[in-house]
Amino acid sequence: MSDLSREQKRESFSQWLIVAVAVACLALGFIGALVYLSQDSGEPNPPAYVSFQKLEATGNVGMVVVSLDVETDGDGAALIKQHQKELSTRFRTILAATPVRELYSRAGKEVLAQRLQTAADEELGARVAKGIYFGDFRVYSP
Amino acid sequence: MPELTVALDRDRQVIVQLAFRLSGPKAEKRVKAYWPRLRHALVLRLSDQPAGALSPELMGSVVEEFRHEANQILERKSAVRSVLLQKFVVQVK
Repeated sequence: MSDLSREQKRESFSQWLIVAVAVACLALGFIGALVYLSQDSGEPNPPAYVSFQKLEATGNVGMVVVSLDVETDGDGAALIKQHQKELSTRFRTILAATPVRELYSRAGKEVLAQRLQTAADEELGARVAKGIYFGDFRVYSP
Repeated sequence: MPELTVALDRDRQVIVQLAFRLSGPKAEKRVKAYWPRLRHALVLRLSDQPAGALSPELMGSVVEEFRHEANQILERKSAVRSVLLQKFVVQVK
């Protein structure tokens, strides 16, 4: 009887040990996941960009050819691509309407970027475009 | 970094090409993710200079100021350790 009791106790202990090890493994896994997520959250999601290459517009006193990127997030990129033709037309219209002499300076380019941003906001119906960033910026003036 | 062409005035445009010395692979990943912002900052910085005065000597300080700005954009103090001017051409019409 005593041997049986000892055997039962040993089995019970083994079961508890297995459960304890399993719980410890789960806890370690959980802690590991938390540490990974906390490190990952330190890095904000990288922005997405939609490129508009060589937007060409001719105004009264010259021609401007600009490449630019519109910053957005993942969902915004799909929306911008859907409206890319309309946005290109709006951007070209603004470029053509801007006097060429205003496009050389930093201040002129900043104002232009703001106008393009406003046009993007109007076209997309929300603040989908989070920034307009210029690349090549060529101006041909007679 | 690919070449960048920026009009300075009606007679001049500058073509520059830069190379970055970075702190490591993470910095490289970050530079790629924020590349359009960095390029835009360079376009504005080049447009901020008097066209006639843009010389290789002045470009040295422009590039150094750009390095500081790049690290601010990347939100890392020393992700960009140095910026090398690989190409600098001022075209006059």
